[in-house]
Amino acid sequence: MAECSAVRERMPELLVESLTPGLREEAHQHIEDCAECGSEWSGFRATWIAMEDFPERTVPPRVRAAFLQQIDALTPKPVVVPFRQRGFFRPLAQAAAVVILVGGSFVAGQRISAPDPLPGNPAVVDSVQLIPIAENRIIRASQVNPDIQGSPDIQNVRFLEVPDKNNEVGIAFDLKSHVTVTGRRDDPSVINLLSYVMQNREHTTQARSSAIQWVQDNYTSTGDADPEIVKALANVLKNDTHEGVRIKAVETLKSLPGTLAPEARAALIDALKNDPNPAVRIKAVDALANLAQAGAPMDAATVDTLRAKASQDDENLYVRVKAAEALNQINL
Amino acid sequence: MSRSFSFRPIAVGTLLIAATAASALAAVHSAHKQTWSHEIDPGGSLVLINTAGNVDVVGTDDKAIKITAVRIIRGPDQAALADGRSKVDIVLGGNEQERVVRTRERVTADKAPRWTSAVNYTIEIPRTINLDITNLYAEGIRIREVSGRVNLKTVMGKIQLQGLRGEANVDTINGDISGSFDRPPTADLHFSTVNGQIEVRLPRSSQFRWFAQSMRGDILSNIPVQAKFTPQERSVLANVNGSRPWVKLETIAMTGRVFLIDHDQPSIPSRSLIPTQLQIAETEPPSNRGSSTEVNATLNRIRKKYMIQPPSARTFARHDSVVLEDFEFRTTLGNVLVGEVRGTAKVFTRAGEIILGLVGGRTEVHTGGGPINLGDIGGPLLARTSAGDISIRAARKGGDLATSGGNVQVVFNGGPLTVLSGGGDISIRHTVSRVRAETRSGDISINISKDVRTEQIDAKTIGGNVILSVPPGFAADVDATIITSEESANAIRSDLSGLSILREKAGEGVRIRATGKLNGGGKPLQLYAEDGDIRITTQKAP
Repeated sequence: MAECSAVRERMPELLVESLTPGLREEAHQHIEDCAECGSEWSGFRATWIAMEDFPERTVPPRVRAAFLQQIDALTPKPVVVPFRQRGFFRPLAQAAAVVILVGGSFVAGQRISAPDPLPGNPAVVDSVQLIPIAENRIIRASQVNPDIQGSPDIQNVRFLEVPDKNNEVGIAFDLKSHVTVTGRRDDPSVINLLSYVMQNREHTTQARSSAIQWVQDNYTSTGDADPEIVKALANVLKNDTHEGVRIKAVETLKSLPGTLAPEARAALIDALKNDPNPAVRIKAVDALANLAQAGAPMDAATVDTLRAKASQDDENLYVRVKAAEALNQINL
Repeated sequence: MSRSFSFRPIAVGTLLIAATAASALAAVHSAHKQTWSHEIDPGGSLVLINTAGNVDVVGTDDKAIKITAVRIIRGPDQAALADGRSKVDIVLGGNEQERVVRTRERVTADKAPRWTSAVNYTIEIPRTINLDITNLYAEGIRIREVSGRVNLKTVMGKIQLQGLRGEANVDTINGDISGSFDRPPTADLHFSTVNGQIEVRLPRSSQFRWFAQSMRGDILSNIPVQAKFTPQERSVLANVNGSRPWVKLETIAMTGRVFLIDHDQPSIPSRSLIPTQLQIAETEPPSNRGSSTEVNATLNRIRKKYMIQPPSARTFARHDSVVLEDFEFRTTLGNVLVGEVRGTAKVFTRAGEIILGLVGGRTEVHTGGGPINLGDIGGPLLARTSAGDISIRAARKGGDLATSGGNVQVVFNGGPLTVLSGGGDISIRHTVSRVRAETRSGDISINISKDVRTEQIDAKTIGGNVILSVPPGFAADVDATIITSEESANAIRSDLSGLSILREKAGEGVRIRATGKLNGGGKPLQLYAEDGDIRITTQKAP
């Protein structure tokens, strides 16, 4: 029984082939002789194999960060480390990743029976298959272009053996690759990507600001703005903690053509009422004034907010004047 | 030729007939009159809620309310009129203590109606009852001979009050308010308008405490008053005809003028109660303001030549195209535009945008709120705004720039420069001199010109990134610090080697500090960011 207990404790290591040859031989011998442990081992392996088919769940970034922080806290670190440029390529990782790289990341999760080599560098993807932009994915080697293009940055490499699959191995890694998505301005994928970058606070403020500036430069002269973009900007204006980003968002909302969506108008009113930054409030009231000037109907909430602002003694005088000017544009 | 010759008159004639018919159709309207009469208690109330239409209320000695309503529907055709008639009605409710009259429009937000409606009310009421009226849009609202309390709220329409005896609270957005009282007031009166003007006529002997305010307009009276003026609020406070009056008159106009007039001698000239030196914006001669054509021409000229941000203002308290000497201007309210100043410039406005295209000498600009938009500034620069962006195309001698909230952008800086923002990004696109930049929340990006070998830079943001772009051979003693709540979230990165990084706990977060010498060391480079990255990038070699 003591031997059974010891073998069962070692089963996880046996599964990933990390036992010493002697212990592995002993364990297998016992499993063959002991019916109970044999049954346990069969169940163990079946579970392990079944797990391969489970869908990959995306770990929320904050949970992931918190987990890594906990792990990090337990790991002793040198107090001083030399400061070096990033971007060194790791030969080991490159060698290991020969079968998987850039093309694989693009066609992840897809079934491409006969992948054609992608031309040149950078990789240009023109497939009719939809390419996921996802945090985690599992792909088969057969779906990966064997050519490694450029010097992709591969980090956190782990090597896996897949039990009961002849000669199969797994190589897991983080791949930082530069992707260029091209498409029409109004393509839903382009719009969604822009909205994601603008709103995702995991990104640097500069990335968010640049995305918003880009929207301002490219979406203000052509017809009505896409509702998704307007919604994203409204969210940024309402929720982003970074004042510079909020200023950019309200500037962009102000410059977008067409009648603003209710979400945007609500965000402007909210900003005018509550934003602590006077520059945001000025731009919000300017945007509402533009709306009034364009003849957009002013609902009661907008009128009330403007009226309250115009009369608010402790508000910046310029904001008050702008609110009054906006009200002056109201027509029957 | 012959075919077009014969066709054109027919086509033109047809179009004319069609246009005439269309315009006739567009003017289709219907009017429907209804009357009601209801008893009400002498101390009761009448509540009237109307979206659009005129209202005329008069107090009588009768004991009943008599309401006459004329519902007018306008539309392009009969079908639209029929639709409007079916969707606009008048609802009466309440009891003898409170009667409610409401105009009801059943329209859905997703589909704009093809008609417009207005309901004009003429109402006779027992003079002692209270009135509570909300009437958004009107050409006029008149209330006469009422001794009960009057509450009135409107968006637009001229308001006339005559012979009121009781308390009155009147608030409008774009309407003028005119109150005429042939007897001294015996209850508090509160009148406020955002964009209209207020005129109150009272007997000269009336005793009351008067508070009047106008942010942009004047406050005038032809009744002698000893008024105390408060510049910050642009308001006056006066006890009229008595040291301890118990009746209050409040007249608050945001942009319009306020008048207090002798009821019996209205033709006596009024006197402004605002000190002369604070009336600059209003008394500026029209020639100095410039026509809109001139203003646009100046704006276009300086925008193309000097500006990095398009000016947002279009009307100006002061407008000059070119000033050959020194220029100084102060105003309580208004945007200031000057194309070129060959000498020094000094501009102050309590609220408004300041736009200067070119200034040859020292420049001081200060606004209590509004953007500052400057072109090429040849002398030292001092620019402050309590709220708004600051955009400078060239600060050739550097200067001090400060905003309580807003982005600051400088394309070229040629002298020691200090930039402070209460919240917003700071961007210095090219500097050849020392820079100190600090923002409460926002990114700081500074680009040091390629010919500079070493220069002192201090950049600090309490929430954001610091991005410094330096020439390849740039030398400095670096002390860069970030405070971050998650160590993995933020980092210090440098394209130049020679820095060592120290990580340590700082309260709930982590302090990451990089120190070292770039290219053998030079002037101090102090960079600080909370919850952001610090990046030192090198420019491409020429």
